[in-house]
Amino acid sequence: MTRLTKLAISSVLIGGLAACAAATADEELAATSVAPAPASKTIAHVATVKPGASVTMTSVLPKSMTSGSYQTVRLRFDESYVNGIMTVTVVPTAELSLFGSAGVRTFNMAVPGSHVWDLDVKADADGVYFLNVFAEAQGEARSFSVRLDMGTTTQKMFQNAVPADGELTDGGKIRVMEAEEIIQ
Amino acid sequence: MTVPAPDTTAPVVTFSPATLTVESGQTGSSVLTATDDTAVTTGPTVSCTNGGSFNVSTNVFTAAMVTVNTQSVCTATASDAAGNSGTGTLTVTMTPAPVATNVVVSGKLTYDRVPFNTATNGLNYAGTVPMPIRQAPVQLLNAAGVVLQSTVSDDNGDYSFTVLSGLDVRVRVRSEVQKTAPNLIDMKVVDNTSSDSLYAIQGAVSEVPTSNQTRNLHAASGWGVTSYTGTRAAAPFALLDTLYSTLEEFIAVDATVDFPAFKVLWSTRNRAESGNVADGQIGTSSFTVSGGTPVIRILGDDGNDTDEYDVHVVVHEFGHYFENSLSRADSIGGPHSSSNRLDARVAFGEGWGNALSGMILEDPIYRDSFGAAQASGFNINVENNTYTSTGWYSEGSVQSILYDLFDSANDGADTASYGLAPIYGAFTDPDYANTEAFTTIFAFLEALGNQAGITTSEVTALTNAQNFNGTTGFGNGETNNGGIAEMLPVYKTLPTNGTAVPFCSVDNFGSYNKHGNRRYFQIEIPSAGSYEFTMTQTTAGAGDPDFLVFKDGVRVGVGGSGVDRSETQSFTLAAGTHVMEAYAFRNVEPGATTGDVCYNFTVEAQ
Repeated sequence: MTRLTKLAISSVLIGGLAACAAATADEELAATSVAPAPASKTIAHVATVKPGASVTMTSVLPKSMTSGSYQTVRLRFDESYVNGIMTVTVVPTAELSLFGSAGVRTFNMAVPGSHVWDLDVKADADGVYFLNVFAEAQGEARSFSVRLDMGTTTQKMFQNAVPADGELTDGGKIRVMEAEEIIQ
Repeated sequence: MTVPAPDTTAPVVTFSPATLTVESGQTGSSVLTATDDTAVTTGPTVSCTNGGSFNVSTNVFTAAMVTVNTQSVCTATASDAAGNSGTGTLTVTMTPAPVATNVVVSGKLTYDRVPFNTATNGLNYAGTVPMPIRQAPVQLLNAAGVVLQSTVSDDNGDYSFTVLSGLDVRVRVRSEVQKTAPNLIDMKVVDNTSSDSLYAIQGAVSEVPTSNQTRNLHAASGWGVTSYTGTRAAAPFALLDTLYSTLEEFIAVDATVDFPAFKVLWSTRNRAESGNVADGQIGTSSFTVSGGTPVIRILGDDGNDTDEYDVHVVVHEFGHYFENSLSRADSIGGPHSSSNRLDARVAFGEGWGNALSGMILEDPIYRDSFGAAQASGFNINVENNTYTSTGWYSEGSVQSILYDLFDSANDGADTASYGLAPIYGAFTDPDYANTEAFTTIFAFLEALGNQAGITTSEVTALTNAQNFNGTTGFGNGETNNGGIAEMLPVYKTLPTNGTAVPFCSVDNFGSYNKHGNRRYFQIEIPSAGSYEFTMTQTTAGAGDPDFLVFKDGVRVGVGGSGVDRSETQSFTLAAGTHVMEAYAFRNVEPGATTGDVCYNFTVEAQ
């Protein structure tokens, strides 16, 4: 991975063999894809993913996102269809807003290459937020989640944003969840 | 001078209450009061006739150890300065301690099952029903968390312990199924965001009474009216039950089948973003092998995508586990849909997963919910026979054929009704599990032909209806090229005398795992020894050629250097049939600029 400046690129890749997506044009990108190494160089065990729209998404984020002002998030979609319309819906989580009201865009899949959507997002307070992204093509759908760290964030903010259920006991080996109990 | 009348009034001594019943060795309270018209100057002191003692300071009676009912009368005496003395009595019945008796603590274990809204393909929380937690380990723990007893719930979710009364205990249920006989089963649902902790539910600590007691435990969905408001305790048990139902179907066709250990990774943090699985970045629901253990990862991200109640998704991923652990899978994974033209290995694995979900759930409509309140969704009808790209490279064609082989509803070209047994038989047939070819629909159909009760003409009718006609595990004679003339024959023959065989890696239908990206070859190695493989680009531009060589499903050679336009590697190979996939790396690297690239391939004995 090449460590660069200003921007971070994060890939939502669902192939077993995936590589850092093209952060090529802009030399001020920091590639933070966590996908496995390229196929011909390291052969990892593959993941077979659930059925759905044959679409992958890559998000390109400002390296440092601040709260209180709009930030541009680039979503790039690559699909494997020769024609048809792909509809993408973006829903921000609570306290995160999109500039403008439209959270839906359509893309002509007959047009070759990637489909790009630049979104302006804003949060008024530092914290961890998410964009829920849904791509639908030819009757099937695929979901994506984009984590946005606004301002100075902490692990607790992440945990507050996506709390885990249950209480850890037994030395970390059992996660006990509350049961409804009726004793007679 | 008046002489005071002598004090003849005795102190008044009372116990309140005046009678007690106290268990052997235990204590009881009674308030002792001594009053006098002048003053109590001595006492009160208390003595008891038949054991036990009364503490004047604390007003507590402590019973003697008795084995039969024993009455003890405690007399309190107090005096005044004139020598008047008064008494009061406390009559205590001391009873023997109850003998701890064996009683039955039993109950029913249930979880919330959330069904689909079949109109929207989203979840229908209003239709939630309790279902039994079957075959799960149930533990009886004391207040300190020590496991006192263990059992396993039955198929109705019922459990039972025989336990001594008087103990403080709780009931815990673990989200796993562990069996060694008659079938090996080792599956568990764990939290990948918490060090793979096993999920469990438990009740409160309370004392076991002297008579039988019922303790019913329920794992609730946590859903409020419009959103999750409570702990999503049902999710792990819903996953467990879906999978156990699937195992049962396989056991029904093979009473001796064993299921090697696997884990299901689920968390409310499991999101559709690739990255650190321990942070919930699982990409999407999927199957893989991690650290040697098969794992099914399931999304749990409320409002984006949750799959714990998407039963078809769960069974689909189990289908991949089945291939991996009980059969063989050469799939390279990656994104796919029913309308894609795919690498034949991917098409077969994914079509199998889809078809299996219809078979196991007796519902050919594969549904996957997502979105706000999980209210949206899509479906795939595996009974459908019409796709935009039918053929041996089509997931849709594979699921159509496999489901039609299974089901008893005849439609279109389908006159087959074989059930699961021969399909299971083909997957586990050595002709498939050890096939020299890749695991595609061709290899499967060849093994299916070995199974009892299969009528070849019925199978052929189905494959012809899906526009392919190749035979043997290699698809010999196939005439459907899937829109790329270069892709026939399905396996190109590669001689070992250095003769160049041309081929192309094509991006017409996408990249990584799409039809045309990777070319299959069949190589007959005449004798064991060293062979040189050379892949040379014949068209202009960048093309980083790569190839992988396999024997009986085992990779025996990798040509994967980063050298552009040419790749040469030598391998020591055993005699016999080998297969190979070769491709332009740019067509399998996500995010790369794809393109059609052609090569010559040669193999030569050294």
